[in-house]
Amino acid sequence: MRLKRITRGEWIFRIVNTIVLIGFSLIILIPLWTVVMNSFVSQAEIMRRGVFIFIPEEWNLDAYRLLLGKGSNVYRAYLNTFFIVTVGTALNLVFTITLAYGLSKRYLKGRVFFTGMIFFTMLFNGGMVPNYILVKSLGLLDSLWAVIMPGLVSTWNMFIMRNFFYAIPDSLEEAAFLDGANPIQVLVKIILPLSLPSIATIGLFYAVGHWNSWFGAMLYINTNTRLPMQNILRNIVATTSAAALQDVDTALFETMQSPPPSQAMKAATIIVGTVPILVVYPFIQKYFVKGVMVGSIKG
Amino acid sequence: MRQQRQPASPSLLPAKRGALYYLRKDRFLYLLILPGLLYYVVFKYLPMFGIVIAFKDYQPFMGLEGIFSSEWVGLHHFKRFFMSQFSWQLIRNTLLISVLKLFWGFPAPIILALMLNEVRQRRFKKVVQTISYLPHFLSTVIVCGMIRTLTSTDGGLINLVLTLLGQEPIFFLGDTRYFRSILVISDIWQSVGWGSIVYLAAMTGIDTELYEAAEVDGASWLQKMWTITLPGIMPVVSIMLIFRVGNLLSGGFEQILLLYSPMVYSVADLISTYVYREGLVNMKYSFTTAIDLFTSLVAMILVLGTNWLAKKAGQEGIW
Amino acid sequence: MHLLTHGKKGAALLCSAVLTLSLLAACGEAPSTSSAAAPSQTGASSTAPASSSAPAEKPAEPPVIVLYQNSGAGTGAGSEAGSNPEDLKMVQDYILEQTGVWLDARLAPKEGAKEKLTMLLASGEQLDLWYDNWMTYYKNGIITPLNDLLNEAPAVVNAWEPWGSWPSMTDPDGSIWGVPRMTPTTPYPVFVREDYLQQMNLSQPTTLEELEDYLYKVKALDPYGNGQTIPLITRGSNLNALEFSFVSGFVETGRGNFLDSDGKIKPLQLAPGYVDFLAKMNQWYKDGILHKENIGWDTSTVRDYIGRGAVAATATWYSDVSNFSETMRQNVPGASFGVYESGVTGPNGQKSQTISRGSTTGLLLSSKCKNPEAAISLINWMYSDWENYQTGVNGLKDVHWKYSDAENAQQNKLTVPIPKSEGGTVGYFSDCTLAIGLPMETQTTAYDADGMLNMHSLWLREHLDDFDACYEPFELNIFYNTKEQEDNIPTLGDINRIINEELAKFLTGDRPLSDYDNFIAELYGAGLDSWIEEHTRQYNQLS
Repeated sequence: MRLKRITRGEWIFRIVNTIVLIGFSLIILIPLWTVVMNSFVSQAEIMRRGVFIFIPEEWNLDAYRLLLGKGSNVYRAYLNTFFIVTVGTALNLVFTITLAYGLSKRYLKGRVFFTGMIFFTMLFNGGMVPNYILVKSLGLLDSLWAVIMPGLVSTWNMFIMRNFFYAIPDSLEEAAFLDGANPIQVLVKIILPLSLPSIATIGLFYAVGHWNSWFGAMLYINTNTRLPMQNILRNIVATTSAAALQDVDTALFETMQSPPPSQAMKAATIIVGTVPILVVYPFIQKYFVKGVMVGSIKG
Repeated sequence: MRQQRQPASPSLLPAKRGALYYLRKDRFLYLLILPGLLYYVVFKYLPMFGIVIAFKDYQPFMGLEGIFSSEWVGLHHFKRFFMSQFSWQLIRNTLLISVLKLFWGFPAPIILALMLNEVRQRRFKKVVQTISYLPHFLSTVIVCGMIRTLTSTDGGLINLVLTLLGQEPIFFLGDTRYFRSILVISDIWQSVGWGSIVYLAAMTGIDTELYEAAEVDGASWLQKMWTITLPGIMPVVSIMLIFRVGNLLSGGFEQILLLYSPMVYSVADLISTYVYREGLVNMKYSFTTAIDLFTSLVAMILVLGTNWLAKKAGQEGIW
Repeated sequence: MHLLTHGKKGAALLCSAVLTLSLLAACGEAPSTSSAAAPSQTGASSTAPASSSAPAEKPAEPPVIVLYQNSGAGTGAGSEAGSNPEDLKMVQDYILEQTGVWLDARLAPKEGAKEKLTMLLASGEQLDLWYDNWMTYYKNGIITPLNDLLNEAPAVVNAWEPWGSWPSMTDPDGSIWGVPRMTPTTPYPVFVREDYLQQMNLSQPTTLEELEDYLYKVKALDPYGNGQTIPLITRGSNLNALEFSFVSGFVETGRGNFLDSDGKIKPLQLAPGYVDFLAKMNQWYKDGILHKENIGWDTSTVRDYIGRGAVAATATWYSDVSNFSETMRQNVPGASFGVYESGVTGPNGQKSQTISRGSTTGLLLSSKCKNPEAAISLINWMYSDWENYQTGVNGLKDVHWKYSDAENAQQNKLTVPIPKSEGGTVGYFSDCTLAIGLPMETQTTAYDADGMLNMHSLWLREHLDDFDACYEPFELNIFYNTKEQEDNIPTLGDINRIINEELAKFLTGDRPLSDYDNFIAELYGAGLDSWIEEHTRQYNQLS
C-alpha cells in the first residue's frame, strides 16, 4: 500500500495545495507579526512610524515590565484563570459526555423531548437579571463557581459530541451488551477510549472558552483578587478603546483625564493573555491524527 | 440473564409498554443524562420567567418582585420597534450580513480542513494548522484596530498597494460599497482556522479501511475526498450549518460597533447595534428583551426549517 | 470484554449518583468550597455582600456604605487589576478612623460597567452610592433627594456653588438628586499650533476668516511632511465637536435647540444659518482641511494624531489636546498649541464656540440606604479638605503619595507617587473617590520639564470657564428630562439617527446641500412634530 501510484493530477494538486496553504499562513501571520512587534515598540516610535511596524528600531520591554512587574495581582489572576480552566473543563466534560451519550441512543424514550428542551435554551433565555438573581440565591456570588456553574454544559458542544457518538458503529457496543455490561460501563470502557479525538476537541473548545471568557466574572465577581486574567486584560484594552463606545455615556467618558496606556501595552497584553493557552494545543493536536479510532478498535 | 438484555435496537422492542417499563429498562441511561438535564432545569429553565418582561414596563432596579409586579404593556415594545422607519432596514441588514458571512464563512473552514487533510508532511500540516487558529485568540477590539490600520488612507497597507497600482486611495470603512466585504473577510480571517478543528476531528473518525479499499479500486484523490471524506464529516457539517442558521440574527455585534460610523449606517446598522444604542443608555431593559425575543422567534423558525431540510437530505438533524 | 460483568453495576450506579449530587452540592455549598478550592482567594466569605472586602476583625458597629465606583476614576496605568487588597484596606481603615464610616468601595469594570450596575440594582444587594444620570431614577423612588442632608454637608455645597452646577442636579420642584460632577465649561476651544504660526509669520487667529487663512496655508505648506499634516482635527462619529467649536459663528442661537418665533423649541438643524455652517464644513472636508476619515475615528485615534504632532488646529474636547501636548513635544521638539483667551469670532460677529452645559450625571444616593447621614458625611469629609480628596484619589499621604515640592505644597498641591525604592507602595487606584470634578481637580498645578505650567493644568485652572470667549446659549440651565423624552417621542431614536447619518453625508458631500430641504422634510416625516411639542412642553415647564 505504501508504494501507491501518484498520478500527475495528484502531483499538481499537492503543489497547488501547498502553495495555497503557505499563502494562507502568510495572510494570517503578517498582521499577527505586527501585533507582536508592536509590543516591543515605544510610544514615541508608534507615534512616529504608525502602527504597522515590521521590525522595531529599538526593542522596548516596558510594556511587559509594567504588566508582569506589577506584582501579585496579575499572577493571582493567572491562578484564578488556571482554576477555572482546569476544574471548569473537567466538570464540563463529565456533564457533556454523559448527557450527549445518553441522547445519542435512539431507542431512549423521551429522547426527542429532551433534545428539544435542550435546544430551546439555545434560542431563548431568561435574560441577565433572572440569571444574576439565580446565581445570587445559590450563594455563588463573588466566587469562581459563579463563572463555572452557569456554563456547565454548552449546548453547542453537547450536540457536536452527540453527533460524534452517532458515528460510532452500534456493533461495537452490542457485543458488550450481550456480555451483560450496562451503558455506563460501555461508555467508560469502550466509547471513551474510542472518542479521544472528539473529547480532545470538545475539551479544547471548553478550555479555550473558559480562557477567553470575561463577562460572567465581570458580573458576578466583586473582589478584584478573584478576577481572572481576561478581565484584567480587558480593562487594559478598554481604557484605550472605550472611546469607540463613547456614545453611550459621553459625560462619563470625557471626565477620564489620565492618558490611556500605549499601543504597546495593548499588544503585550495580547501576548501575555494568549501564549499560555497556546502551549496546550500541541498536546491536544496529537489526537487529531487520522485513523486513531479505527486503529484502536482493531488493536 | 444474558438473553433478557435486549440489543440496542428499537425495532426489537415490544410495541406498547408503560413509561415505568422504559424507565426501568434504561435506568442507566436515564441516570447518565440526569445530571445534565438537572443543569438545564436549574440554570436555563428557572430563569426563563424573565421573558415576561418583554410584555411589561420593567426597570432593572425594581428587582425580582418587579418582574412580576410591573405593569403589563402587551406588545408595546414590539410595536415601538416596528414603528421605527428603520426596522425593516435593520432586519434586512442583519440578515444580509449574516447570510454573506454564512455563504463565504461557512464553507471556508471545511475547505481548509479538506486541504489540510490532504497534506502528507506531518510537520507542515501541524505548522499551518497552528498558525491558522491563532487569530481566534485575539479579541474583537484588537482585530478591529488592525482593520482600521490596514485600510487607512494614509499609510494603510491596502491603500499603499492601490496607490502603487495608480489608483486613488479609498476610505473603505466609510464607503457603503466596501463595508460589508470588510466585515466578511475579517470574520473569515479570524474564525476559519478555529472552525476547521471540529471538521479535522470528524475526519479522524473516518474508517481508514474505506480509503484502503478505494485505493485498491484505483480511486483518485479527488474521488476519495468526494466519496469518503466529505460524506464522513457530513453529520458534523449539517449540525454546524443548523447552528449557524440559528445564529443568523446575531450577526457580529461587537465587530460592527467598533467599525461603523454614521456614514455607513444604511448598510451596517443591525438590530443588535440599534438595540444597544436605544436600550442601554436609559436601561430600557424590557425593550431589549422584547427585541431579543423577536429575533429568537425568527431564529427558531429558521432552525426548524434548516433541520427539516437537513433530514430531507438524509443528514442528521438536531432531533 | 469479560471484564464488563454485573458486579460493576453498583459502582456505575454510584458514579452517576455522585455526579448528580455534585451538581446539587456545588450549587448549595459553593461559598464554603470556593475559598478552599481557589488558592488565590483571600478567604473572606462571600455570603455577606457588605463585608466581602472587609476583614473580619473590624468592629461591628460602624455603618457600612457600599459605593459602586463607576466614575471612571482609577484609569491610570497599572490600575487594571484594581487596588491591592492591603492598600485598599489601609485607605478604608484611615477613612473609618477619620469619619467613623466603613466605605466598601467596589471598582466598576472598565467594560460592562453599566450592565454590572444594572445587576447590582436589580438583585437587591446593598448599594448606597453610584454615579449616573439622576433622571433615569428619580421618578421611581430609587434614589433619595439630598436637600436636607446637604445642610449637614457645607463643604460639598460650597465646592460646587461657584461653578453653578447645582441646577443640573435639581428637578423643577427643587429637589436635589445628587452631587454634581460636571459644570458648564468651555471645553471645545480651537487650539492652533504656535510653532506653525511662527513659521508662517501669522498671529493667533481671532476670526474665522483668519483661522481659515491659516488652515489653507498650513495645508499648502505641509510642515509635518509627506502630505500628512492634518490642518484641522475633530472628534469622530458625529459633528458635535465641530458644532460646539464653530456653529454659533453662523447660527445666532448657538449650539443647541432654539426658540423659534412661534414660541416653539426646535432642533439646531432647523435654525437659520445652520446650512451655512454645514456648507463651510463641507468645503473644508473637500479641500482636505478635515481628514477624509476623521468622521470614522475613535477618540484614541484623534489623540494619537495630536500626540504624533501631525495636527495644526483642533476642534475637539480640550483634554485630547492638553493631555497629549507633552507627548507631542517629545515627538516634535518645539511644538506647542497656543491658548487664545478671547476665542474666535464667526462671520455673524458672535464668538464661534458655544458653552457646554453641565451634566445631569452625578453621585446618587439610594433610597434604600440605611444610613444616609453616614453616606453624606463621608462625601462631605472628602470635599472638606484637599488632602482628604487626595486620600480618595491617590491613597495615604507619605505611604502612597507625597508632595513633589514640599516648600510650595500649599500653593501647588502637586503630588507624586512614592516609589518602591523609597519605601512607598503603588497599589491604590482611586477606589474610594467620592469627590470628582473641577472644584478639586483645578487646585493641582503641574509643571512640565521646563518648569512651565503644563498645558493641562493651565487650561483647567484658567480657561475652562472662559465664558467671555464663548457664546452663552439660552438653554444653559435647562435640563430636559431624558426619560420623558423617551416616553413622549416614540421615534426619538429615528430622529437622532437621521440627524447623525445625514449630517455626516452632507459633511462629506455624499449628499449635496441642495438636498437640505428634503432632509428637513424627512425629519418631519420621522416625527419631528412630536419632538418639537415635547421639547416646547418641557421648556415651558422648566423656565
